[in-house]
Amino acid sequence: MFVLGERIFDSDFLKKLDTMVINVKMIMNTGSGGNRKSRSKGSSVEFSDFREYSLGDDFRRIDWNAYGRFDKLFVKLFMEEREAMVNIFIDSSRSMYFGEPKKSLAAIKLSGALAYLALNNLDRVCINSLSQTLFKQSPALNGRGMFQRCADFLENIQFGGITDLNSGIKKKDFKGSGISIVFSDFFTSGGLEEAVKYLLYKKQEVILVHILSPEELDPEMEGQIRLIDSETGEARDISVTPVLLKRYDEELKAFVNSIREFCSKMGVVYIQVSSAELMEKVVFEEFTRAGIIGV
Amino acid sequence: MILFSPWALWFLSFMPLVVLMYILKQKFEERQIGSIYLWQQVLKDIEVNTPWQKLKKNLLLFLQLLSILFLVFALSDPYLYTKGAMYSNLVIVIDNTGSMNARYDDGSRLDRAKQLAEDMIRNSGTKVNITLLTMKRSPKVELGNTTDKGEAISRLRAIEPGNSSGSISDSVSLVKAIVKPYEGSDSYKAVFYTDSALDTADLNAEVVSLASELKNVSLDYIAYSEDDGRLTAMVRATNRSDVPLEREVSLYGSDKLMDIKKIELPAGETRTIYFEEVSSDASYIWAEITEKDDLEADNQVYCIVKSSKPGKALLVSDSNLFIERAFAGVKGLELYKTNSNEDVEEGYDLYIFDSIVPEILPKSGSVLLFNPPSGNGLIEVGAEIQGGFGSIEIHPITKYAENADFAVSKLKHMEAPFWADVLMKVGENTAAFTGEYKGRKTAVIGFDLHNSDFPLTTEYPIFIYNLAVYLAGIDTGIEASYFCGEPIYLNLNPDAKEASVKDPSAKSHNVELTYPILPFDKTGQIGVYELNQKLEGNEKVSSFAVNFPVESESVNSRSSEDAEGTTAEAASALGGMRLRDWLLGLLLLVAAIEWVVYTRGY
Repeated sequence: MFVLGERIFDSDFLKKLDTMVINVKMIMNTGSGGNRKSRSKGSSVEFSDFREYSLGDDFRRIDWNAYGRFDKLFVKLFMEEREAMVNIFIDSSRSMYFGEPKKSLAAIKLSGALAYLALNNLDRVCINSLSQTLFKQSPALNGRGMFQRCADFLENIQFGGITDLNSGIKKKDFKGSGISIVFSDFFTSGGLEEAVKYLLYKKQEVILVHILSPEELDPEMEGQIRLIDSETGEARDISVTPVLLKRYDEELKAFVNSIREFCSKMGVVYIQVSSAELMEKVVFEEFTRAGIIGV
Repeated sequence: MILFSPWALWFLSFMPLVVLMYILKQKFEERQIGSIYLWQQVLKDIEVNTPWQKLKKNLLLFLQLLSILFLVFALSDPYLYTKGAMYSNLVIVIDNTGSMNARYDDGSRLDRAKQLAEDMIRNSGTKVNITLLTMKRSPKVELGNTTDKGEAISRLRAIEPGNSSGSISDSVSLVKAIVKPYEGSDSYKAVFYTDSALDTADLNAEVVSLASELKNVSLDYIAYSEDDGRLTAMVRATNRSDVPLEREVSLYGSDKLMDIKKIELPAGETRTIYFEEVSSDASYIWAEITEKDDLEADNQVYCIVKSSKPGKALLVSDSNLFIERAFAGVKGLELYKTNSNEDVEEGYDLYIFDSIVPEILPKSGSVLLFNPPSGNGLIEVGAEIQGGFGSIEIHPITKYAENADFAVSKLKHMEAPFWADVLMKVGENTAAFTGEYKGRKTAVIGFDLHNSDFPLTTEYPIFIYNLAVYLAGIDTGIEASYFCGEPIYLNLNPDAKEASVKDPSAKSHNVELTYPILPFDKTGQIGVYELNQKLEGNEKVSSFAVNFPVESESVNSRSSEDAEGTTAEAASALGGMRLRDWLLGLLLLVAAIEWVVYTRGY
């Protein structure tokens, strides 16, 4: 089992997160009332719209000033603010502990950032680490002050074992709808269809973050090489030639595209990032583009 | 097959080294990666597509081993014997007679022979002793026993075409003598390049036949008769091929065209062409066939027109009809007579003294004495002795007169002096001799012709004619024509201080005036030669013509009937070949394949 074992969420990181929070807010429309503008209208202090009174409306909300002016009954509509449940799943298999920089590090940093944003938004956050043998989840954290516990959990995630998203995610017991964000390299033989379908069934808004290391995106090797799988210990001898590298590149593209296609079919957000990319860049560009967060 | 440098095989020990390097290289560099999930997908595709993966993995190794193999074998210089056993002595005989000038493919037979011989030398082993012979009129060793191929090839290339006649068979005995030390073994090989049939008997020899069908008309002979300054020339032409041919024959006087005649010659036929009454003051005439054919050397024939200025002879005799009649019949000689009591005048080419010798001999001119008196101051003569049956000795002067059957009743006792050759004997006694003494040609007949029946024989006029030609130095038609390659016995003037011969290409050859005068043998060219003699005060120029030996050399494809011997086409494979260049070529090819394999990344 491998643990990163270093302070990831130091004060510098937190400062960066603070800056982000000023600029960013999460868009959410489910969950219990919280510090989040929901798309549904309800009771709140923030005005949204007027509409004509209809039978059954709370007459406490009738705008009498408007009645005096138009001689018609109008009700004021307010933005209902809700609290969302943000579930973060981190693939904690051995393969995630690879790469330069490590994919696990990128996953943890991004999870931390998202968790911080969510907590700031008065959402509840639950972090889950999963591998074939291990499923661990943090308690549902609520409130800005709980970030430290969240960070502790993240920093202590153990990486090992074989990736198996399907069985791992199924172990999670969802209480109502929410947002599920999955960080993984998706190198799993069983595929991820089942897991995604399960999440959707559980009324989750699903976001897949595909993390690949630079070595996986553009392998730099030559000569005779024995590749050893970090998870299974399986070995493959290859003699690296330009042709072989070209084939790998094609295979990688096909792999990414097949996931992307599946996601768009299922209405799932898919983001592919490199572990070498800067966290800020991912958050501001990729996540924003995907509509996870609004600026 | 033999390896000239077997030591190079030691380099084969590099091969295990390469294999070892490959085994070491096969040890994979281990690298742990996150997941081989993607790689498995990649390899699955490739392995399905390439069932020969295992072999291809080692393709470069095989190619490298192959290139080492080729390189090492190339270094070891292998030599493949394709015919016959191995040999360490090579004797090459090139026929260089006139017929070898005949066309063969694009060049001449000689060109082809030289080219084949060059290939043979190039392809022979490095340490082979090469002997190079040419066969013109007689065999000649051009280069003996060398291992220097470059030298041998340059000598071979320097061989000039000859026009002489000769038989390649004459060289066999010389070759036999050369290879005698190696007899019985196969350590020598003789190769004859010729267009003639050849029996090499028990030699370990190859005969490379260069015979080919020729379309050839030869001019065999030219002669003329003179009548009042007008010439009638006769030219004989022969069609040497199997098809009828049409030819145009031109007659030239010196360099001036005089007449042209067309002739049709059926296969194998000989025709005589007459050019009637052509006026000429030319010093020589020649005929030429205008059309080029397969053998051009025999398309010209030359003949010298004798100078009409005759030699002068003075006969000092009281009365001797035998001598008078005989000398009067010699063409080209004007005979003058005087009585024995008159003074002898200067200025004659020949003085004939019958039974007397004057006290003072003329300063120049040859001398012929009949029945010389004793005490003549010229030769020693003893008393008259009893004669007997006469016999003629073999000598150029007695040519055609050797069989004379005659008797002499009385003759003077004489001993032939050291400078003289005996021409005639009666019993055991010398009866006639000739020679050159103190720069003067002298002949002595030791008896009075009246005391013998010799003047009545048919040989007598011939003998006298020969004697007169020799003594008076007159040009005769017969002697003025030779064949190429023949040695010519120059009949030099006794007073000549210097002599040189100018050949048809205007190149001058000096004649050494030491006795005996060596025959002039640089007669390889066809045409008119000029003999230039520097006498005291003036020059004497005479000419002779040298023609192609048509009888022996214009013969068509002699060995086509007996197919023995190797044809020129098959000859290039004779002896064997060096494989080095081929191996190096293969090496380059393998290297190219290797490069392609490597860059394409199989």
